[in-house]
Amino acid sequence: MPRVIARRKPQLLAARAAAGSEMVAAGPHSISEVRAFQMGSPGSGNSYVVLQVRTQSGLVGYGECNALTPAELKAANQAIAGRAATSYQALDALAPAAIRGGLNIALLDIVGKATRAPIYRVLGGPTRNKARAITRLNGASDEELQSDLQKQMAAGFRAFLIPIPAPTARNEGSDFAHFATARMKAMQAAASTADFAFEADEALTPGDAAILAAAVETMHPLWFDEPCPVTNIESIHKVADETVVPLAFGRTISEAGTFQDLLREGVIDLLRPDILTHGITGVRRLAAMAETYYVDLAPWHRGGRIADAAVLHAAASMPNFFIAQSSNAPGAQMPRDGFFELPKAPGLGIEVDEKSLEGNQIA
Amino acid sequence: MNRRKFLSQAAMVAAATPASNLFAASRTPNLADSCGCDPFLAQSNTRDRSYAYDPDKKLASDAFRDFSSGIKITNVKVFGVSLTPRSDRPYVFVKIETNQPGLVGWGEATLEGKAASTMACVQDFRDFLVGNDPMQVEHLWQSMYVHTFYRAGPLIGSAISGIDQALWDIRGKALNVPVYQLLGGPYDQRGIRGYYHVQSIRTAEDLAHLREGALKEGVSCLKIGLPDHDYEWIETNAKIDRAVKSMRRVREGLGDSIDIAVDFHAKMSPAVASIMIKEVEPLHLLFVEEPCPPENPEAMARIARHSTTAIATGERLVAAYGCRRLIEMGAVDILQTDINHVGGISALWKVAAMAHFSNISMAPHACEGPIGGLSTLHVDSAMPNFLVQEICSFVDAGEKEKIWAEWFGFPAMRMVDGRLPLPTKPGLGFELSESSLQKYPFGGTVPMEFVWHEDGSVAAL
Repeated sequence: MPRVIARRKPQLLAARAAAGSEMVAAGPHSISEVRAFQMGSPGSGNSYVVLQVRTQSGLVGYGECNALTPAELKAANQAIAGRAATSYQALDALAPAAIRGGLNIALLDIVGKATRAPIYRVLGGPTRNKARAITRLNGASDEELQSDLQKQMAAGFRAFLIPIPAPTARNEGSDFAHFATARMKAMQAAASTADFAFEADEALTPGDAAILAAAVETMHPLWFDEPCPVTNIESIHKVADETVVPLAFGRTISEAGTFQDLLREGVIDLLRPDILTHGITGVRRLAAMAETYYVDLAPWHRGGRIADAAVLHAAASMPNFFIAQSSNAPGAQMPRDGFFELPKAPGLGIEVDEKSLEGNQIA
Repeated sequence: MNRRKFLSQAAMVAAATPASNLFAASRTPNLADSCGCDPFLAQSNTRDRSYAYDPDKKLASDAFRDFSSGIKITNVKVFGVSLTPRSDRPYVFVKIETNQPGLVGWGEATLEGKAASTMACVQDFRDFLVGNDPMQVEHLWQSMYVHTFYRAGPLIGSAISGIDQALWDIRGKALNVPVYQLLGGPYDQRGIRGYYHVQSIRTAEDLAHLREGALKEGVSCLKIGLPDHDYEWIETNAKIDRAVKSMRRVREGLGDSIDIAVDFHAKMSPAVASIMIKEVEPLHLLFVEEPCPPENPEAMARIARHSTTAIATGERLVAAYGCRRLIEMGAVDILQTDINHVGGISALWKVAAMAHFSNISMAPHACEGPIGGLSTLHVDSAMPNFLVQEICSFVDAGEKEKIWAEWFGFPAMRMVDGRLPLPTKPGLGFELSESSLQKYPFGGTVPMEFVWHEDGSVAAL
């Protein structure tokens, strides 16, 4: 009965147009402007964008996203200026994809400040009273890594990502296995109470990743981070089937459906979504799905202190959070005996020095 | 000295001497923890003290003293409200009181046919809840669900649902915002698109009257039932034909501008449902609801794969866990989890988020009381994949709607121009007095109807 559709189409289109225009016209905290600042952190080598959202009620919210063009910033302003900051979920799809994660963080910062509550309380937390911490070890040799390990242990970390250097050739599996076993032993010797995860930056073949993972299984690494790129499900199956070391993927995954595929196939044990891409809400939505597979999250990012704080709020507003990785940005919070403290002030609960943004504005 | 007192003194000693765990110092650590099943052993001091087992940490909020909002739950009340003495769904309303003057939350735990059990189940959670910080709804939800050990079916799911709604109501009021703002809504300021049910239709005149009334009210969608009350898992030509013809007549009578949903009420097998659903494809129904019973997602998927007609299901599913398989298969088109059974606002939000990843739409079920209905509107307004909201009322308001309006002071869950207005006051957006419920005392548990086949065997409901 095509006539049904033919008759209803104008009606449906009209309804959709009306929904767009009627949506959240104003409200007490309507958005007046979004500004963006290109930032680079000398400490971490990270490059990211700080977002500053102002409301007509005089509130200021901060977020971070990965990269933003002046055109995308302009489009975001056109799409959301004049709308209520509290409708953070409804505004998500209106803005360009590049800004969505950071915008979500900034809008939740505003909602928290408007309600005088930390973001996790806005979202029904806290679900925990502190957040387990991890940091990446720096160094090329075992000795350099051991020295960094001592330093980071003294700073309060108890869990560490051990970098696996990029391979010089493909399918050098047994070399990798020996290398990883020796490196893990060296790290465990330097800090017997610490925990370790391997990080391969998506550089291995699935076969090499599986051989490495199987070799360290009984040394109980926390997990194996990004062993190989998620090119297709079957390639990930190879690693997951041949080993029982928990596998983590996610930093480059922007589509939630990819996480869903990995979960459904039972080949992922820890989700590492980029909080700058997905925002606090996007990460929580992924957590809702992962919970039904009994899988934890450890949000990832290459941002700064705002992203660090956003991860802590996500951690305290979901049941299935495992660990927060420090940005190592200057002024980043140091953990106490392996755990980060949760912020307690309204919104993100951190102060942003506006002077640090000067001169970096994207226009 | 009783044991409880001894333990609290021991804890004080332990706290006063840092780095000396009283129990670890005096005893060899367990090689294996005891199970705690023996009623006598469980009371004795045989278990290691740890975060996992600490007799002094009784409350879920105890580990969060540094994060306390200052609000504490002081009482949990449960009300059975029977609009008629023989109602099979007395409303089970939950009221949570706090230490803040005037700050209370309302929720609904109605479970059709199991009223007294649900009320008892809410009461079972009372001791767990009192003393906790009501703002920590996700934490309390997790504890209620996980520490129930057997997890939740519809009974425990309904109890948790009522408590969860009341906790959201409190949090919204404490933060002075409507709940939909905590969830990031609304997508549409004008309200929530809804659909009504229809009373029995016999004639073309009935249909014309219905169409006229719906169009006058701006109602864009209606849901109908099937002509027969029972269906077997293999059916006769006569009954299949009657069902298909009745759906055709309704489409002809209502015209193309009103969406039609048909509730199969899980009365059929995948075999029989598939035949009917395929045959009514040209009618472009908005959806067919529960074409087979709910336990077997693969059977539901089998029906959905036979036809382009949209399939909706989910009102009997509990928690996101209960919806996982349906969602990952992506076979059905619409999920209908019910805020009074699925686990409240918290769980309905999670189901909707997960469904969105499979691009499945949400049309939440609501066939109980008005508190669950109003709670659902808040969640609906923040769903990117929202389709339409059920309300088990008719185009012409009846006695039930009058009572609801009396309770709340506004026409709760009545559409204006096809939409259910979003409550905009803080929390769930309504005030309710206990005394207004007294006119409708609890009439006891009344089972849902019993349906039998012609040969006396059990027919599905």
